Amino acid sequence: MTGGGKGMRGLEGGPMPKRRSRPRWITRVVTLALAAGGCDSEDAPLVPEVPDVVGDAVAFGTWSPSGGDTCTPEIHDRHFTVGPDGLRYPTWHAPVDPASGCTFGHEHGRDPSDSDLHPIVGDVPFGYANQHLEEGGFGAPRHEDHVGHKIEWENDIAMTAGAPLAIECDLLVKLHQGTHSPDAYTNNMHEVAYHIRCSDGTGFSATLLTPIGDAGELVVGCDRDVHIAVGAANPPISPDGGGKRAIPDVRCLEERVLAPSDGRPRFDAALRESWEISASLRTASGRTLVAFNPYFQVMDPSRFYDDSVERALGRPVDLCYVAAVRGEDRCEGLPPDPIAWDDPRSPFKGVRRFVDVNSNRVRNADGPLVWYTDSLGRNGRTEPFPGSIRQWIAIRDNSGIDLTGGTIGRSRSYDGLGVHAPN
Amino acid sequence: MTCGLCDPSRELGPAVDVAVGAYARPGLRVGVDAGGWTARDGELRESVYRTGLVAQIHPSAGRGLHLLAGLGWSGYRSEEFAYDAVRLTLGAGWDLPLTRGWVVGNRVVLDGSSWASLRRGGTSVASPVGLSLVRFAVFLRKQ
Repeated sequence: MTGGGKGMRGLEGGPMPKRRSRPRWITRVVTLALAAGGCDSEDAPLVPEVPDVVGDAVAFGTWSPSGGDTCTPEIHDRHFTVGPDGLRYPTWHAPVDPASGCTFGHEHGRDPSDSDLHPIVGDVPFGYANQHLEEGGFGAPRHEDHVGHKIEWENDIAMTAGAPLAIECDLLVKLHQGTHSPDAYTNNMHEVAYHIRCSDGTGFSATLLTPIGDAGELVVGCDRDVHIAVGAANPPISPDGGGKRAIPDVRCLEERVLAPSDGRPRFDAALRESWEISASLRTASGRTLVAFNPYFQVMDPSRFYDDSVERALGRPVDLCYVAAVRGEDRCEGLPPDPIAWDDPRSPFKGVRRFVDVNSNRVRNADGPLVWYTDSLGRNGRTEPFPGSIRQWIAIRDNSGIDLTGGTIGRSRSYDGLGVHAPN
Repeated sequence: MTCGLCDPSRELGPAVDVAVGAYARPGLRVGVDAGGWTARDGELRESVYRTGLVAQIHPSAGRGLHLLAGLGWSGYRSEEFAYDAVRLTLGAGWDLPLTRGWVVGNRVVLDGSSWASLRRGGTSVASPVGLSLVRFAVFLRKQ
């Protein structure tokens, strides 16, 4: 079990933690001691009792090895966390199993255990909002694959809040962002877990399935004015959302890779995906409690939209074997004979990602700290209800501050031993 | 500016100050002054305006040393941010005769304000907030 205990403490709150200057085991002991005390103020983490395991979530146990993956499903399923519902959920693990040395072939982004927020929020359960979608009143299920869950975090982010202010935030975020399949061509509901704590008292922990852009269509990455109606979304009743899923289509590759005006192919410019979220938690009356709009960007997806091929799945690595592109840009160093789209040697496997933090609004001056919403972040109430998700929101109204963050993770790549598409 | 959320770093920028007044008695001048300071912080421009009463005293007749005290208003502005507070000013300087009717001099002055709110668009975002300005000045004064 990742994290060394049954302590899933996700979906919780607390103030911006002090910088870590003590061993983590001490931090954990302190956190658990606070949990035992059942504190319910902004001065202490809110930690629900860790439940006993009562079963497995739908998202648990879904991964199986492919290609050259050397780990077994059993080894993979040792990396789990227990949700507030007592179910086992998959959670972050390294591309290489630390105990056996086998490879999983996929990665989940940055190791959250080094985040200053990890002692507060614990391991992130993958698929928690998906799990409770129908129970909360939505009329259809929405499940997402395992490999698309990606974590990013940064401590002490210097926020832009206006000239006289200096506000820092810790941020830990997880988005399901699959960039290898046709799922996101039509499906706009994706799970996001967003934990932020700032030095001005702004903070919230939100877990929800947020609709990103309109269902059934994508926005062309290299020409945002072009929307392509691809087909019915899954589920068909997916609501439209704010933001957009900007995904490259074949024209982007033609313009910027196959026939660029200056003769230099640029895969990054052609392939860059930007999933621009406009998410919120709202009360049952529709009042916004929190709102945030990070942009999740992937420079090296293993797909592009091409409706002339099967499943509309164009594979960027195939272009590396077009004469004009061979050996150029990201294709440099590839073997002379074509490799498959899911070969670990492919430079297109969705490992170069970053997040534009953007704005973070809190409108919860009257409290309470804990709200319960459905899986879409709506219908927020102060008491739990069937299928509800516990959300933590600081008692604060930061409407006078435009608490905006810059980019995190820009210089990181999450490539690792054995990592390959689908990732 | 100083507050829980404020960026405590000092910005360097030009300031201008004008004052009019009269001798209340030999060695003591009183009057009103007004001035401003501005600086760029990244893409933002910050400005501080001030006006109020000022008194200057020469503790030793015939020498250039003079002390300065003032009381008035300071206002900070940067985009939608605004701050207005009572200001206390203290300083010291040295006069040098220039011509029969004029003197030049230098002066170091500290403007300090506190106990007010920093507002953005009319909404208080921090309180209490302190504001201090250190001015190194060269002045020209009619005798």
